Amino acid sequence: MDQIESESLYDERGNVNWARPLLQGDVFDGIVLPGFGDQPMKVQIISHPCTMRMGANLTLRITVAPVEPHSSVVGQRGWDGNLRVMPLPGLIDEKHFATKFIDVTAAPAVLLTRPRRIATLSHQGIYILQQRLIKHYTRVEMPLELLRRQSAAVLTEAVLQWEWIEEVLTEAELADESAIEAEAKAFDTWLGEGDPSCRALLQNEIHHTDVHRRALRAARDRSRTRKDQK
Amino acid sequence: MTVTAGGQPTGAAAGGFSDYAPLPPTSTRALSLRADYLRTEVDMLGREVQEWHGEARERDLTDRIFEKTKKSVSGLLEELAGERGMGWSDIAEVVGVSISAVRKWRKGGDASPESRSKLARIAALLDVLEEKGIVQDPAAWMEMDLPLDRGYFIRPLDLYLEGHVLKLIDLAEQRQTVAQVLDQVRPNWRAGRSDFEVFNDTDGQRSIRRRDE
Repeated sequence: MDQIESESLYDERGNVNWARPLLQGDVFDGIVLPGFGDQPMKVQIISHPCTMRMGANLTLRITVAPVEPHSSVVGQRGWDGNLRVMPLPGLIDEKHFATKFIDVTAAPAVLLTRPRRIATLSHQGIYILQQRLIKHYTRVEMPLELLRRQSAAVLTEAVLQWEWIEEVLTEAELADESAIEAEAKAFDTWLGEGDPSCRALLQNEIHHTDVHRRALRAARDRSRTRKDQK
Repeated sequence: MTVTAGGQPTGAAAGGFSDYAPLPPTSTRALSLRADYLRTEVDMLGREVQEWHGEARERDLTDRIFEKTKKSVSGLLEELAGERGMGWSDIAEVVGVSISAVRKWRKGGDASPESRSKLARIAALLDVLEEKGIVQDPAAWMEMDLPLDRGYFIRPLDLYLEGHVLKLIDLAEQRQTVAQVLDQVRPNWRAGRSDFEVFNDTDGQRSIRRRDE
């Protein structure tokens, strides 16, 4: 099983960029999980990026698992000795936590808001999470390269959406969840246009650079149009 | 059977070694010696040229990196992402930072001199790959799996991250095959073949299944 240093595991901790779409591995705080008592808790999204959306919208419920303090999730022994959890070393103030796969459940998507998001994983971190989930449920160990290839299209789409939103929205709008959601829909519409659509082209890595250039041009055009209209 | 040379018996039929008639200078032995000498010369010259070529490439790359470092970090990112179309995750991986960090630089945030140098290095390499005329879209090439049998998932970007820049240029120039390069830089690469493969599933998404040989 692979392991990863905390510097490489996270994309952000603490103040997380709102423009980044919700993704597998995101950690939220203050979530009251149905069936887990009244106390707000930390949870991590477990759903694969392919299965947590219907078009641009999140599914009504999203698979999550509770995140709890865990002192022994660092070092080789920490990673190899705790196969039922996803180690989250240094998640908050250098304190260690872990996601408990055994308590996986579904959370209403409306609870998983951007202000409640306290950490996001790097792509490498997402592959590690996927590897551990597969191991937990099937005892099969998948190489990270394979998981990278499987997730390439959907993770590239997520980063393009992030870039699109930052290009189009103003600083004030980037602090407004509804403006971000609206722009995510505009990106989704753009991605599905044409035949073949850019979304279809993303299924082959050879087109990724071309789709990236096209997305950036379209986002800048949209940004200019919006400015002209104001 | 008696073997003769110049009408004289040779080998066992001729008796001992000293019984061989002296060979004239134009004989096959002299020709063989000459060929030995020439081949050694060519091999040595070949190695020398290869070393010199490597040095020249390194100097060329260093010059290009120096030129690139004159650009601002946001300028380098515009070149890599905006013009080349390189993915933000790949850029982040090359520099060894998070995507968020790179996105902040894009908007004017400060990057360390080391990060700036890493951005300049990849930008310089992409120029080289394109100018050689073999790789039309070098950023896309870096992201593609190398043409190997099913079950291998190795990208030029992976070799770059391991520091094999000149080998990458060799590969792009088709001076060596993918297998030859991997034998040199990853001697155990064949053991990394996966029993699984990625395929486009019925819902249009990618899935993983056992490789069917």
